[in-house]
Amino acid sequence: MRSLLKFLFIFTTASTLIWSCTGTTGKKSAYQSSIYHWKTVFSPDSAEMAFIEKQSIGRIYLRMFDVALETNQWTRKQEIVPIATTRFESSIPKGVEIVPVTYITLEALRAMSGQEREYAELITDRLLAMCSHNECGNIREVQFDCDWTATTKGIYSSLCQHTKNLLSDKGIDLSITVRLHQLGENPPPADKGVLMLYNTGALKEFRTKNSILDLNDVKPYLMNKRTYPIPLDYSYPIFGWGVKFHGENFISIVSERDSVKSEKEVIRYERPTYPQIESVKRLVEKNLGKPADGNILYHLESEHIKHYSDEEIAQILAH
Amino acid sequence: MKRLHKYLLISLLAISLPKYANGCWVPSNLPAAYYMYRVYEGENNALVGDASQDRTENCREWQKMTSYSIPLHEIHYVVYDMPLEEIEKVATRRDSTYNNRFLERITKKDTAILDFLLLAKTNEYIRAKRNSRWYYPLMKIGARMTLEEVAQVSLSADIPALRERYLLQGVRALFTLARYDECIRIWEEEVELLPRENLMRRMIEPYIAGARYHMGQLGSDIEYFAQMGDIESMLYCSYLSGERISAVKALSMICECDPNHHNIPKALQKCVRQMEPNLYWDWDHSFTATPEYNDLCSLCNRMIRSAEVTDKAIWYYTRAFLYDLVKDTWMAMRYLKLAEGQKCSQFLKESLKVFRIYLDSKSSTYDSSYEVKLLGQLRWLEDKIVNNIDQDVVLETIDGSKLGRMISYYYWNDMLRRILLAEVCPRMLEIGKTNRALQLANMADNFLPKVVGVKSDLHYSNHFFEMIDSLGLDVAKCYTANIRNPKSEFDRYLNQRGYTDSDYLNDILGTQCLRNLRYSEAVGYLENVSQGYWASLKVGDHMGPYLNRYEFALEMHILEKKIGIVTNPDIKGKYMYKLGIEIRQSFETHWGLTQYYKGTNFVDQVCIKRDWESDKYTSAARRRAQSLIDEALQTVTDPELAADLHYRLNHFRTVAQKYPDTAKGRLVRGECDKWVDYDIFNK
Repeated sequence: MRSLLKFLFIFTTASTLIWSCTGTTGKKSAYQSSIYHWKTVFSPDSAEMAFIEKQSIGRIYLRMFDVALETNQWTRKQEIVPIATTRFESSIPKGVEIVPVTYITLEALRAMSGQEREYAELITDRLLAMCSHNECGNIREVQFDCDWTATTKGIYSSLCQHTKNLLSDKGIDLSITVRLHQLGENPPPADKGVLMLYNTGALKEFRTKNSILDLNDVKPYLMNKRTYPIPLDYSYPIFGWGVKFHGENFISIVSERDSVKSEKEVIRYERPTYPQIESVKRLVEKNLGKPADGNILYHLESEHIKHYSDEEIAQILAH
Repeated sequence: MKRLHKYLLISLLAISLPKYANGCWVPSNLPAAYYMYRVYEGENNALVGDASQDRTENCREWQKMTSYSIPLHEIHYVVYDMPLEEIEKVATRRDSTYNNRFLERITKKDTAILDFLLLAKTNEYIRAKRNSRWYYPLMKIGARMTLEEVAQVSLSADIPALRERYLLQGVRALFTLARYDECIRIWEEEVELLPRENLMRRMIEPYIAGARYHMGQLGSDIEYFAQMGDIESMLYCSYLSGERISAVKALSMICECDPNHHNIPKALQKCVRQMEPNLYWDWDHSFTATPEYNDLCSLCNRMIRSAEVTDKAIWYYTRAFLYDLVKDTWMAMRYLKLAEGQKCSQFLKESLKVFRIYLDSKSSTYDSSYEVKLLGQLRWLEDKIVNNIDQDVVLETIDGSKLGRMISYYYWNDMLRRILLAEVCPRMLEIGKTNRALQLANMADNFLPKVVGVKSDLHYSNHFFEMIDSLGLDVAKCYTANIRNPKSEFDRYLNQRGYTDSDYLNDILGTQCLRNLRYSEAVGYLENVSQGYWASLKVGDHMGPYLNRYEFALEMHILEKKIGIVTNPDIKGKYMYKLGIEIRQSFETHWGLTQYYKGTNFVDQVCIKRDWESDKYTSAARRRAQSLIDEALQTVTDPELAADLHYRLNHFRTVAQKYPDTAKGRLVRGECDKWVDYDIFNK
């Protein structure tokens, strides 16, 4: 009897532990610490490699190319083409899952109208070919990033649906980025989403305090508890820049290192602090719940990650 | 701004025309836009101005290698249009029978050609995929061979008849693989040894220019191609280098290398063709001297002065042509005369002769002596048209689209049309020689289809029709009378070369009578139009209850006669009313009874089309209709009939006021809330 009680105790405890580590769907937890790689050359330096290791980054959302509209020099016709394709100069760190990402410009999206199936195939084929060619390992997810609006949602939804169909045959999920202003809309067909919690303010507005992240800019979208139709992860910024103004007129984004300005120019330096990120994180998790798969940092760049302590990064990534 | 208005007009027409016009209206060139300048003999004499020149030449070569009985279009389909998947199926089912004679031949007899085409199409398929901006290494291509294999098979192919073609495929594959040094090696070892006119060599040259560009040898390459007289490769190299040179500059460089280079005519023709008017959309086109034009004039002058130049005629001719472009006819004639005084090839002599006919038409007084000269010149052109026809011309003429849209395709016929339609006919019309203008336009439009034996679909949309339909009934009658009784040799000559089908002319005359409300006369013409002809016309809409114009003419003629005979005022009034209504309808909803189109006045070809909505015929018809209706209402005495006629004309107030106790009067009063007119009256 005692051994039976002991067995039941162990069984119950183990079951509870296992249950606590799984989501509500009962699916095995895929919680991962993730980071975006948003450059045109994949060649992490030693600091970045150390960061990946130290923070146990298990997944990199790697931008592969942008889809844009360009004029063909020969035909003078506008064409939807991949641009700024990422060049791989380093191999993928061992044990890190790659999620290939493509950014689709609004102009290209508009031009795709009626040809969504064709472009879904071209984009998917190219993303997977790039992953295969650059030995990115087993691909379980592909991500689309697009700042779609109400007028372009139909095209984007069709593109996502065709892509989702193509990917599901291969056992790959389609995820999409979700901007705060898109939260109120039903998402386009996708398996999951990543809520982008950066670039929340008006960059070109002189009076903006911090266009990268400001709790006051996030609040209007997350006043109350709400649910989103697809599982969401959250992406937090760990970058900064300078925004140069001439008088009150926006000039350009400048790097913090080598920004030179004239007398009439003002540079607004922006970089969200850990407490700012943490306060946004609390608000998001309070009203939207914990992330489905984990938190994601934006983005992998040694110049930026050095501004945050290991502990701060760990806290941002913690779920 | 003027041009903008024109585009706007065209756009509006494009929207509005399908609603009204009998036939489709598509943008056309103007007759003045037929290419006239001709110095390059290498280009097919018959088919000119076609961007697919190389393709045609290539098809001819396949024809030569297989059988002359295979039509070029069947070869073209297999070589250029058949997709890879389809030819792969053919290759696996060689025993099948095909409707295409070229396919039959290459599956049963010349099977090496089928193997070659399979490789060539595979090559192009892969290259198209790889040249796509979307291509990324490892992307699935879906072809059975790799590009490396295509290159290897091509370069090792040992079939003498197909060797040059395989070389082209090899170079294409190597170029795509960025193996530029191998491309250059093949060029130097084999291709360069081929004659310069060789089509495969010409097709390989741009790849070599590209390869040299990638190898960093570009600067010297423009000079290299200048020495070879290869203007296309020079322009391609300059495009790649970003420092673009004009075609005239490239021609100058060729001339500097060798002022007698055999490729000069080709390069010269390319330069001048770019300056010849393109009036496809640009109807306002007026030539303005560009820097290229001035450079070409200077080059002509230099070459004319140069002691080294052996063929001066070509340069005098070119200078004359350039003078004509800026409308200096006198200087053009002066230089043409100088050209005519030089020794030159038969080919160029014929170009000079065409230009002479053209300049004569611009500069002569249109008197009897010019007519004698013109007749001789037309006989000469006719001879050229008849004796140079080949199968391509026949096929294009049967197709009719280029003929209808005035796109250059058969030099001799193009020239007949350009000279007559753009120069002679308008001047003849100006001086009142309408009959001659109609005869000449008829020949210009219909001679070639007649020679080919085609029943043209253009008889109601060509220049001749436009003229006869718009110059008035008297002119049309005079023209038709001349057909029946020609007065001179020139009349007979032209009438024999035009389309003078009596059904066609009777229809046109009868319809014009209808337009003039001359119904008795219309019956006279239209009753002679055969039933078969009525059935063949693609009209019928907008004719109301009538099957054809004859039925309408007869009905109207009978009505007119009845009105003149009957004395009963009510019956007479009814007939008058019906006649008035029918006249009105025949210019409105049933407009097809009096016209062939319901467009508006737009500049199309030789004449200005009538402003259908408000021209003198329509206005006169409206007045006549109104007068008949008014008279009918005054004539009838029976109140029931009078009320009924007023009711049909929506005169509800009158019905209610003047005929309240008639059936229609009671109806109007009983339904007063529905009849706004009457309702207002009551208030």
